[in-house]
Amino acid sequence: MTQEIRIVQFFDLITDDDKDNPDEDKRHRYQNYFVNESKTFGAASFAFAPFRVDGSVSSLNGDNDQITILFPAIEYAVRLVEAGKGNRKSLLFLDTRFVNQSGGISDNGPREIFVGLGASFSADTIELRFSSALDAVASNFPANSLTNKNVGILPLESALSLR
Amino acid sequence: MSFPNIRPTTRSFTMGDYPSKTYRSLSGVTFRRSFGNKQTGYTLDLQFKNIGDQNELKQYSGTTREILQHYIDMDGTLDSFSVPYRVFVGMDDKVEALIKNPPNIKWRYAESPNVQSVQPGVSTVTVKLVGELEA
Repeated sequence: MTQEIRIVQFFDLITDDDKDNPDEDKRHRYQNYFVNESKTFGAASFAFAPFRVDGSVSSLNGDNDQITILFPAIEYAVRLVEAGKGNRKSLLFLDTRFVNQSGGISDNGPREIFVGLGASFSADTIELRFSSALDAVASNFPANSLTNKNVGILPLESALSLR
Repeated sequence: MSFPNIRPTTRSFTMGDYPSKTYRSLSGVTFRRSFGNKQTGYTLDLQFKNIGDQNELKQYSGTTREILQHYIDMDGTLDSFSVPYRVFVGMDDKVEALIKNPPNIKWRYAESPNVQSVQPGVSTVTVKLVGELEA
């Protein structure tokens, strides 16, 4: 017995990159299943890009999930990194949908929202790193901020130890 | 730049497939996930037996130099090219159409051509091509 699965992911990236109009955002829309085709999804057109998504897409506590999106090192991937100022000023909507045998896209599926964390390059790939938009509120949520006033000189690194 | 318009002695072709991965569960049920809606990975192996190194010994038999020069012009395995009709000579037209121009496929060398010397000025050249999707 064999089941076939076809999955498309829609990558909708908003970057804040217009120097002349700082309030203007740019959209970069790609999908990774329909080769060399543009697909309409949510009234917008998504061009083909050969990207893959790795990492956690959702978890129960929603605690700062991270994903990486891997592109081959081609021109538009470099543009994506430049547009988001090294992918640090970007917002990503990632929709995952099933595709049927005749190419129809399912109406429902998960939508995840991430913020850009940065990017890294290798010889043949460009990796965009994203994190879930919100950190979870946990039991050790601090009631106070650490400042010079209440703890003295603050460390320059994130590691703290109580003595 | 097209592959030289010459007749091979032997020709072997395999169809491409849809990119997919298979997960086989402990129960034996398999799941196949497709990652794209177009076939890729076609192969076309050609052999040119006993051809002249510099001059054609028979009409359209080609020369070793011609094939190697094309390989150099294509920057080895880097650039893509079309495959002309004479490479498919003797094949039914409808089959040829499927093989010669699969949709969205570009042909390139899978590896460098192999040249086997037979006698002075005569060689057997083997060429392996691969048809892949280009975005």
